[in-house]
Amino acid sequence: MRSNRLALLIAALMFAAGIGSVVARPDPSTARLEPTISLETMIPKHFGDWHEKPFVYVVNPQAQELMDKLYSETLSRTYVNSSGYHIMLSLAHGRDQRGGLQAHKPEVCYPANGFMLHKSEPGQLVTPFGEISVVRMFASKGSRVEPLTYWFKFGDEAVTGNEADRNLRRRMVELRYNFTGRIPDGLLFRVSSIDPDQTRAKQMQDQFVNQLLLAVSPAERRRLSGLGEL
Amino acid sequence: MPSMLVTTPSRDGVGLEWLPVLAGLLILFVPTFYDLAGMIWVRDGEAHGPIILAVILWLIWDKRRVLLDAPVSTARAPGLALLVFGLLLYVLGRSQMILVFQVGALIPVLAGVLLAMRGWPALRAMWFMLLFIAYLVPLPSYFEDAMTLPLKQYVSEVATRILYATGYPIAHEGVILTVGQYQLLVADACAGLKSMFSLSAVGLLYLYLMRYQSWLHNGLILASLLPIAFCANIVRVIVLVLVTYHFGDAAGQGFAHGFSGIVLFVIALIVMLILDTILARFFKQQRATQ
Repeated sequence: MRSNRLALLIAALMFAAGIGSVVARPDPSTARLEPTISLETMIPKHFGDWHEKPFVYVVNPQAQELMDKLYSETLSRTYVNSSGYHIMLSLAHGRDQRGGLQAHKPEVCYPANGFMLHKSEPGQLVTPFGEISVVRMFASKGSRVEPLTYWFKFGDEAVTGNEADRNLRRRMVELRYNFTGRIPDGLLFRVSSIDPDQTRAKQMQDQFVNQLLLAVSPAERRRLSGLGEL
Repeated sequence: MPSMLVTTPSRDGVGLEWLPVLAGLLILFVPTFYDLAGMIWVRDGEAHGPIILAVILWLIWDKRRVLLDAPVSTARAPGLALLVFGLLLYVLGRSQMILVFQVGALIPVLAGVLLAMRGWPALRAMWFMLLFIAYLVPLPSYFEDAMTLPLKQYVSEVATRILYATGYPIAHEGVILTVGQYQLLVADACAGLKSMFSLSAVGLLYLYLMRYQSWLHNGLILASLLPIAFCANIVRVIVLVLVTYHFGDAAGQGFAHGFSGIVLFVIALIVMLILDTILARFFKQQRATQ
């Protein structure tokens, strides 16, 4: 009977798809995590014109629980330069950034902490090693005005930029990593300063990032920004 | 139309041809739903998943004659093409753990099978079931993030304004409400994205079952679902603030976790039903006068 043969054909296609989905899956036992990094030792306490200053309040992302799940390591430091300008640096690194484990965005955690988000737009941070796609934000809470710059490095690419584009790029990195049997890591890099002058804040933050990238080794630079040769 | 009404009496053994297809479907989608149950359905506000699945199974059962009767017509080529497309989507989704593709593949897979085995009339008979599968697909997290925050801010803003206008000492900064001595953080759940999702699912199912002839009637109910869910969320936040303010933090928290989600949903549902009753009366009157 012909319809029986059709049913068997359909079933055979389904079985093939079932087998295909298992074969195409990256093997978790051989999938490689990127090596751990020690943010504490990787980021120098003195570089260029900047040195670390004992702790000043930095916005904490809204849920510590989620933070611990998402990131294997976080670092918050405040730096000050020779003219007394303060910059807050906040880094979070997660080794496994697949699927459900996705980084928390400052767009979410600042408003959740009672900040008004006035501006959040994609931009480019120019360095001697190339440009980094960043997001420039401007948040305030009462009299505290805080312009900030951040990027998110996913796998080996800084996948910041506008919302739609970012998610597509993330997906592409994830697929590329999966097909080569690796697991993408994620690094959230954020600098901010309490400064009502947005133009100055942006200049200082760019200068800070540039001096930091110059001070670290090429491999570390690549892990922080995705820039430079391997 | 006549082709849909012709039902050849079911012959013995006609149902048996579905066995290999059913086996194939089980092999593909039992692991998917197992993962879905373990990863998504256990989360807060995702409990509707198994209910949606049950509704889908019931919708298929309801139309079982389409499957069990001998085919009136078949559309093999388009059916198999759709099936293969769905299976490729499934392979990509399952191997790369992209749940949206993996679960979403169920729509082209089932549609393809129906077309190939029972033709266009079967697809027409089952269209609602296929559409309803979309509610099984978990929302991509970036979509959820992008929607949740603005919703939360609007909800906080409106709730604060209403309470302030009625004389409560309340203010909000972002999504943190301060009322008297208490501080409340408007949680993701209060954004009501999930309740919009489930209310629209229930609303669609309701409209499907009521089979109203008037497109305007159907359209008005559909258009009202999201605003109703939004208002219900404002009510939820207001009630939470009032309970906390008058009975203390513990009462507020207990209420928030145990009760208010369900109350919210029931209120939203009742509002929808009242609206429908009014509309039904109106449309009946209109038909009577014509």
